[in-house]
Amino acid sequence: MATVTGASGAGETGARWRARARCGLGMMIGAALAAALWTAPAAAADVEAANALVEDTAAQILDLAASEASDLEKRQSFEALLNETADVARIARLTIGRPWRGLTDSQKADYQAALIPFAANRFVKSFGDFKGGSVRYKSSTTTKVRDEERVLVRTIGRRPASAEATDILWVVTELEGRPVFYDVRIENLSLVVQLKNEMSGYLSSVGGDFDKLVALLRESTA
Amino acid sequence: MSFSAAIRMAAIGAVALGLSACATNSPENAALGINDPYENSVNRSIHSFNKGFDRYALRPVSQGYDAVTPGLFRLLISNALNHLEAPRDFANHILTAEFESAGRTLLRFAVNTTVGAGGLLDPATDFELEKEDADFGKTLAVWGAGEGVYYEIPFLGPSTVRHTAGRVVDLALAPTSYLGEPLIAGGVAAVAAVEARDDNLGAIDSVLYDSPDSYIAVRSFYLDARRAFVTNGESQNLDDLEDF
Repeated sequence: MATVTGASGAGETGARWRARARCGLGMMIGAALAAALWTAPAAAADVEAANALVEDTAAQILDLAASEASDLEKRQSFEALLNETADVARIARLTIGRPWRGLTDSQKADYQAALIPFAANRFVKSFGDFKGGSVRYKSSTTTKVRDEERVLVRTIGRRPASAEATDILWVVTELEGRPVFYDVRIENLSLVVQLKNEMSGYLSSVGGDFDKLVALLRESTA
Repeated sequence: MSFSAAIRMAAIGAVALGLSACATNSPENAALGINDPYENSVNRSIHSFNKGFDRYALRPVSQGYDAVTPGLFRLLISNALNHLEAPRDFANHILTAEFESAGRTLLRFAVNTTVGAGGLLDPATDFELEKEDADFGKTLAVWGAGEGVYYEIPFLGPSTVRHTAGRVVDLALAPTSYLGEPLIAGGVAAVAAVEARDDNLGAIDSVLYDSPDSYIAVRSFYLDARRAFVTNGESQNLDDLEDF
């Protein structure tokens, strides 16, 4: 159309178009910036909260491991910490896997109550090997799996008399508005997968009797 | 680890490999993804022996070592033991086409040999040249070899056919194998075992002594750790567990 009305008309139309385009582009950039400014603090806060959770939890575990408390006291203190900082219900569910669906609510509750002291003991003793050394923040990344945001916080552990670094990855998500972790991978070895395979072994050894598995766990931490 | 120990391990591995042809895995173990046909015939007995060896020898010695040796001395020993593994790490990175890791391992070896007083110090780590472990068991896995039968070896603990075969080849890459003095090589292997036990005191204690069934716990821990190592963590995918 502009080419038929002549050069001047075409120039005027082109100028208007460019002005509109600039205006539209400006609005789009403005909207994008506004959206970024609106969402960035929330995303950053999630990562920061996850980092803070991991740094705080690692420091508390190392303090606990270095304390003069008995093994039982350490385990009980760590159980309390685990209940506060981890998604224990999810850990219980993951360590059973598919058979979880067939359990009654009472069996689920019994299992969780028996597993957590067992897991706390494993956890606090594994971290106890870094006593006198350090566990320091290295980096964090976010990932999304099935609509769930997760923050993977990487820390580096150093044992007191070893220069070798140990890669420790924490998987953090959100539960009721607060950050919680539900797995820790030491040198790629997932504590949850390890517990899951171990529980499957025990369950198989008692002929698949779930109540016997719970009894075994209770006995081992009694 | 002395060369004669390697020969013994190879023999045990070969015997296990041979026997695997006539042994049958239980359906329960097969369902768990574990190939352990000797669980009740041999493995549990060897496990009891190894647990006793740990309780009365390895664990007390490692605790004594920890108590009487200064931290700096242990750090130097730890560095030296790591340094001796460099040829093994380098060769296996090459064999699995991990050339960047091989390059970093070579550079790390050069830095620690020269600036690090022959490997007693570890300045390479400060230059972000961290140790990157590799062994021939992993190489075999990358090449497609199956894990094979699980078994416990007296004094040496849990293993699989693939891992045992890998350990034998790795011995050929260990500088201590060429000293011509089995006692020195054996001494280095003993110190390495004591060091490793001391470094993982809590983790190993919780598996061996705080589990409902230490045989199942050790087997599960060992296989998970090995599988995580040879697959760079791929075997530890939590998302598979979530999918139910």
